[in-house]
Amino acid sequence: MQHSYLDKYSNLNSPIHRADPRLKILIALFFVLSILLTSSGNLLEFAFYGVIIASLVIVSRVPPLFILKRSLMIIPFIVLISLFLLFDRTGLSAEYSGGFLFRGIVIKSYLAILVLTLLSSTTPFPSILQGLQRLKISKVFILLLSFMYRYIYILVDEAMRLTRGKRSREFGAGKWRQIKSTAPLIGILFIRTYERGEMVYSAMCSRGFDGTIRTLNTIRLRMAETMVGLALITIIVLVKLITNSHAL
Amino acid sequence: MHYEHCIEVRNLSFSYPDGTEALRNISLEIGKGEKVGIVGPNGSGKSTLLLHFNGILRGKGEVRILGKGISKANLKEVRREVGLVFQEPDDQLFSPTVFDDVAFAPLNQDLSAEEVKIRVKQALQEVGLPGYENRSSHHLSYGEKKRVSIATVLSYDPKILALDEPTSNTDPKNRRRLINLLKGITKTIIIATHDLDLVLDVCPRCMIINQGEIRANGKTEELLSNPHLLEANDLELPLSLSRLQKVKNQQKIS
Repeated sequence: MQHSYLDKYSNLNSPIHRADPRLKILIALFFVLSILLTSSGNLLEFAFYGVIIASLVIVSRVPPLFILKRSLMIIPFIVLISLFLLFDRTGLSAEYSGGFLFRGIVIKSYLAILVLTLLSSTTPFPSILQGLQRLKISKVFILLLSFMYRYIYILVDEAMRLTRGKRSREFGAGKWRQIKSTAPLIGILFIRTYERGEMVYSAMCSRGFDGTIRTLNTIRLRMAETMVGLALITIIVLVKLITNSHAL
Repeated sequence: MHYEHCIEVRNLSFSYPDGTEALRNISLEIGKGEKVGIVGPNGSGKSTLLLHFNGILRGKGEVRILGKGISKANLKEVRREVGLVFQEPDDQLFSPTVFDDVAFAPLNQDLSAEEVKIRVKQALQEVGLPGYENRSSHHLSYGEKKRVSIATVLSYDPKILALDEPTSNTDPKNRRRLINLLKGITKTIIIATHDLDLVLDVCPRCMIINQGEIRANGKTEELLSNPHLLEANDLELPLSLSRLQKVKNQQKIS
């Protein structure tokens, strides 16, 4: 089965693609934080952030349409979670109406997702993992993410094969029976996953795994990149300062 | 021909936790540099036997690798000498990139970064997939995955290779490639399979195993050309030989 890449376009060649993943992770984190710490009414600040993201997308050579499509996927979740704000009559906030807060949350989440989509489309997933590791994130957590990246589509395939097998034989059965036979399917998927885990662990042991995860360091921070990174952070800080002094 | 013993198994029995007797009183010897096929029908115990060669499973009886009995203390050394390749490449390849997978064992041996890179390059070269380092395993074709799986053990240069169904599910071209690859390797090789033509092609000696017991052990050509022995063990003549047989029969008739 062929699946779309989790990190499609991450192997293009642009200054952003070439940059040290640690730097990219840190900048993305900083960017997301400054977006989240924006007052919901400060549309000018949001607009500036939008412009920064747009220029980064252009520099990265990732098709803008792809970034748009990918980032839109998150919208239903945000709307679902924050929908209740629209009907808020209890006075969650003394100053702002529910609709105002709702708009703020949607814009913030969307901008943040744009930043993360850009990060994942300019950095291959293994490099992100390596970056996280060099940033001293727990190795167990990184291993977990790495297995997820490796096995998620295999699980999807397995689930699809099981469903196919069920569909081709369930004709004639009533709706209720069809629904009922889904439960064992989930159980079987769990058992298969568990068994695969056992096999993978055996395969790891066979090749000398002793509980410590060793990786080869292939990333190096370059001076020029660091300067560009600092400049970007400065721009974000300036945007925050200027747009907020204006409000005051 | 006299061989120095590489693998020695004495009275090995193994039952799975659910009570299934997978191996019954198995004894065998495999010499240095030998290529041996272990053939048998599905569920005959082939894979279970392979898992004993590097101590993943440990049953009753004795397994000696390069003269040393497997114990908890020397598991690491044993696994260093026995490269085990699982049947399912998605079990064998668990890292995000091909490089990470092929480098996994060398890294576990604490080799230098330079050395690891050289090993990975050589191993991928050997299986005919140079430059695949940065590919991610789940975007490879099945045949490619099978070959990368072999590279993951070649990279740490074990003395013994134990392969479980190396040609299963591969198309004819990939199968031929794998066979040529296995023929070219000069290590001790044990292949568990029911691809009898593969055994005929690669392994001068083979063992027939069925219901956890060794039923026959000898020259591949003799064992695999014996239709009665094969049928008694739920196998059949290898395709190449059965054709030959047909031609012979036809000649007799005419």
